[in-house]
Amino acid sequence: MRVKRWGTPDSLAVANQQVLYDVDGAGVAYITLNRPEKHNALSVPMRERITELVAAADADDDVRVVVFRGNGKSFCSGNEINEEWGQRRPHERRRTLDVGYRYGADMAWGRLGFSQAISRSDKVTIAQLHGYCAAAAYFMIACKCDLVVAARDSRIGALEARFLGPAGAAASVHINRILGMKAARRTGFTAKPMSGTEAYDLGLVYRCVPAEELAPTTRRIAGEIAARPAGALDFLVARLRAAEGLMDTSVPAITGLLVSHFLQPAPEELDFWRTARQVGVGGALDADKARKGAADPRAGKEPGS
Amino acid sequence: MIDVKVADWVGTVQVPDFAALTRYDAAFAWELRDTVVALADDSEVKVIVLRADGGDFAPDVPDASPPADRSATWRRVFAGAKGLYQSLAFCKKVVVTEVDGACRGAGSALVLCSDLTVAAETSSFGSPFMTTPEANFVLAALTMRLNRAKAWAVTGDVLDAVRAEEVGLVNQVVPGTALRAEVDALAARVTAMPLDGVTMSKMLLQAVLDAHGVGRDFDLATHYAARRRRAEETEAGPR
Repeated sequence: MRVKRWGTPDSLAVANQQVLYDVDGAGVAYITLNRPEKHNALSVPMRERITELVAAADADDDVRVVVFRGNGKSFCSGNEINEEWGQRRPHERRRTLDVGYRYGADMAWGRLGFSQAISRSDKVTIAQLHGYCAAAAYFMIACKCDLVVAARDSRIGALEARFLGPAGAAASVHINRILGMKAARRTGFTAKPMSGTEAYDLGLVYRCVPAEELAPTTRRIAGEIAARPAGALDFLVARLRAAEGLMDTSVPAITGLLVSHFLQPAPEELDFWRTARQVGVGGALDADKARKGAADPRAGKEPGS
Repeated sequence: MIDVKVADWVGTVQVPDFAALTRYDAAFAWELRDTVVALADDSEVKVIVLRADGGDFAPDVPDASPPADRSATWRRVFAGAKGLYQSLAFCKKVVVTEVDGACRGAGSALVLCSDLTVAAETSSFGSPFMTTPEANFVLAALTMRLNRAKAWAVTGDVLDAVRAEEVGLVNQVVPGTALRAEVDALAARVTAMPLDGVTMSKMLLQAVLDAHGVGRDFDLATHYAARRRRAEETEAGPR
C-alpha cells in the first residue's frame, strides 16, 4: 500500500524547481528555496523534498555541511497557508484533528517530521537568513540548524502567532534552550520579529553581517567547518545530537498542534483564512495589522449572561 | 603537585595548571578528585577554589587523546559517577574556577562543572568536546545557551574573555593583576551564606541539573569516547 503524497497537482509538479540542491567542491551542500514570488513559502511537497534532500546529504560522504538559504527578498516566510493540499475533505467545515495530526506529526512538529530531518541530520547544518524568516522557517529550519548566519536587517520570528497562537514559539523546548525563556515567550506572545542583531545578542545567530556580506560569510564559515577532518566532525555532530536528545530538544510540541487546531473556529483565524483566500497571505497580514486586538467573546454580554 | 589550603571557609586547590587532565594523567586526576571530595566533606569549607599558578589555567595539549582502551581506570577516574567531573558538577559546596591565560580541553570541562568563574582579561577558552569526551555538553548548553554551545563545539572557535563573559561562560572578567584578589573577594561573599543553606542548595541543584539531562550526558561518556576512538581510527588523530 502506497503512502499518499500530499499536495496539489501543481505544487507536486514544481517542488523540484522550488527547492534546489547542489554540492560544491568543498564538501558543502546548498539547499536553496526557490519560490521568490511567495517569499519561499513552503508547500507540503517542498517540505517533503527538503526532507529527501537532507537524507541524500546525510548519505553522501563528500558532504560535511548543509546550508539552507533562499532566493529572492526573503529566506522563507514559513509554511504555505493558502494551499489546499488535502487537509480538508469537501463536506467538512474545517480540517479534522485526524488529518491535522498527520500534518503535525509527520510534517511539522513531530519526531518523524520535516524539522526532525534537519535537527537530527548527520551533518553540520547552517541556516543563511535574510529578509523574512518567519513562522515554520523560524522554528522548523533556523532554530533546528546548528549555526545561523543572518543579515543584520533580517526579520526573524513567530509572525504567525498573532492568528495561529503562540504555542510553538513559546513552548518549544529547543527555542527556550536557544533564546532563554523570557525571550522565547516574548517572541511567542507578541509575535514581534527579531532583527539579525537582536537574534545574535539572544544566542540564536552565530554571525550577523551586512546583507551584502551574507553569502560570502556563510560560504567561508561552511568551508572552514567542512575542512575539519571528517572523523572529527562526525564525532562532534554525533556528540551534539546525543546531548540534544538528552535535553529533549526534539520533544514534539503536540500541544502546539492542539492549540492551533482548536483555534480554527476562533474569529481571528477564520477572518485570516477568509482574507488570505481573497487577497493572499500578504493582504491578510496587512489586514491583521489594522486589527486592534483579539476579539473577546464576552464583549457586549452582561455579566452573568 | 596539588597544594591545598583551608582558611575562612574556603578550600583552595592550587596546581601549576590543569593540562594533566587533558593528558589523561589518572594519578593527578584521582588526587584532584579526592581533594575535591575531602573538601566537600569538610564542615569548615563552604567554597572550593580551583587555581592554577603557572600562567595558564589549562594550556593546549596538541596530541591529547583519551585512553586507547576502555580501561577500568579511565571509567573510575574520569567518566564514572564517582570520577572527577561528576564530583565537581554535583559537589555539595560551591566550586569557583579562577582562570588566567589559556583554558583548553579539560580546563574548559572544569569551568563547565564549576558554579562560578572569574577570568583574567587575557584568558581564552577553547571547546573541550574534541579532546575531552567526558566534558558535559548539556552543561555547556545550559550555561551558554544551545546554539552558542553548538557553535563553540563545531567551529573550534576560541572565545576571548570578553566574549566568554557575554555568552555567560564566565561571571566576571578582571585585570590579571586583580584576579586572585577578586576571586578571594567572591569566595568571601559566598562564605557569608549559611553552611546548610549552601549544601541544601547544591543538593537541590543536583536534581535540577539531572532533570535537564546533565547526569544522562555524563552517563554517555563511554559511548562518546568510543565514537571518538572510531574517529581517530578513521584518520590519524582528529583535531
